[in-house]
Amino acid sequence: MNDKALLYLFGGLLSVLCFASILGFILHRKVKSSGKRKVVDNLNARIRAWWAMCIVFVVAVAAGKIVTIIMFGIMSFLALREFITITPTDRADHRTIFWVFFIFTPVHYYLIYLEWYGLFAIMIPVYAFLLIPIRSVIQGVVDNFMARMAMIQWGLMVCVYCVSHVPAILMLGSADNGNATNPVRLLFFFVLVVQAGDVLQYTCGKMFGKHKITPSVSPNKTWEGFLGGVFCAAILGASLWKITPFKLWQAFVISLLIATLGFFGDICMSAIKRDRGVKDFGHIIEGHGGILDRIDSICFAAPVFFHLCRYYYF
Amino acid sequence: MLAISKSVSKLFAYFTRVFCGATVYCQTDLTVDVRRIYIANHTSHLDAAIIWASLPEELRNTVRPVAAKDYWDRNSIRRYIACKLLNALLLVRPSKIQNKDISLRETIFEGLNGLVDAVNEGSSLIIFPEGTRSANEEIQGFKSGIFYIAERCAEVEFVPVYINNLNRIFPKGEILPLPLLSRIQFGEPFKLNDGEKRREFIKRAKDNILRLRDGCDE
Repeated sequence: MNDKALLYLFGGLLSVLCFASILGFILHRKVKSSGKRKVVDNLNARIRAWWAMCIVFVVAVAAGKIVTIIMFGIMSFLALREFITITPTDRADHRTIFWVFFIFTPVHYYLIYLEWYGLFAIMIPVYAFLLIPIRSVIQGVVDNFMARMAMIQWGLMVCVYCVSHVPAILMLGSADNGNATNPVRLLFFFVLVVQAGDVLQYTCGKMFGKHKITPSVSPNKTWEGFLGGVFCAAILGASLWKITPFKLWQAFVISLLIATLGFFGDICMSAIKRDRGVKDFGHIIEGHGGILDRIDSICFAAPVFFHLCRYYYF
Repeated sequence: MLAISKSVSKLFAYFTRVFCGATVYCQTDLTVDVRRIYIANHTSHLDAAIIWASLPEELRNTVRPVAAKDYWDRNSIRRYIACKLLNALLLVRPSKIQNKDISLRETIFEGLNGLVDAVNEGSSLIIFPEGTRSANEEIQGFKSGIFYIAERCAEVEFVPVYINNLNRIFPKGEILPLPLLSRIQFGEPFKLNDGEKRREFIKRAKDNILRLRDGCDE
């Protein structure tokens, strides 16, 4: 990694995490009442998990393209597993789901490695879309057929297709383009803005939240949290414009857009959880729930960001 | 019976838990060393392995799953898993006896006495009292074998176990498992009460497992 801008980014990330940890430690010592204690313990669990996630992410990205692709592939796999677990599929879909896990997902990520953009873009929306019902219909079980197929397709789209657009950003740099920016920077810019958007919305909501935005879907979300968080994320994104190929105003608008999409990804996945009667998709990350609870905002923002960048380059 | 090394067995337990995405809930402290009979619902061939893998490491040496001989003795891979890794007790299932000369009664009691001997020798057992895997999530009627053992091993504890979602991970009739998430719940231990009838005991055993299931389905 010989990109100075990225080293500054890592440094920035490290200082934010250190700051959060120190803050968490001070709160841990100050707060004594048992009700607030719980909130602080949860906060500290979240901060510890952020450390782990940031370290895994930075190491993977620093290790190069193949490791990055494998890391996101594993993330997709784990998210898909959480998604299918809460999905009411039928015994007859067993082999279809086997294909989804062990054929479509690896092949899709392999296409990113090959940088075969054309097939990457259509493999899941076209071929997997058709092969899923074909495999299931052979079993001959018609109960809820359309709902079952739609759920499997949705899981594959959200957990694999959408998430894969993050490592796919790395494809963009290989074009022989004079002003091409190191695509690793774009990847960092994206993940940082979307995840910071999550945290900032949470923080703004806790500090100023009054008016509920979606009471029936996610009762903790407020207008103040949403607007404040998205705006702050956009400011953060704009302040990073130098490391991107964008102009200042473009970086601002793009950050505003991906943070907003992140918000909608979050509440759409909340709607699914609420419908299925679960609080979290899993409990693999202490304080956060499952992988899918953490990356729900990325799912919705990644494809749009990828294509915006792609138009910008070509 | 330490033909395989500790590390292989540890690795196998770890792999089983990770593949089945198992989350283990315990209502009781399993590390206390007493002889127990774990009774569980049965939906998958992975059930015995996942219970075994969910137990604390020090207990895995003393616990022996009770499994069907007609399935686990069929080829060398299955035999290796059952006999070497899980240290299973293989039982002849009366329903699978084709030879008419063998007496059903005798086979059943021979098998049950084998289990009683194993408990008396200090082993804990994993038993699926339904006797066979159910095709869906419903729990079928329990067989009376556990009552027979309870009568003969008075001090043994029964631990109800509910296994969730294994029927989707590796259902009856499939050759390849799916890597979904599962939940293994160990409930409060219970014993045979003085003067308890067979039917009452069997019903109580089943109710204890059903309670674990219903307690967590909210």
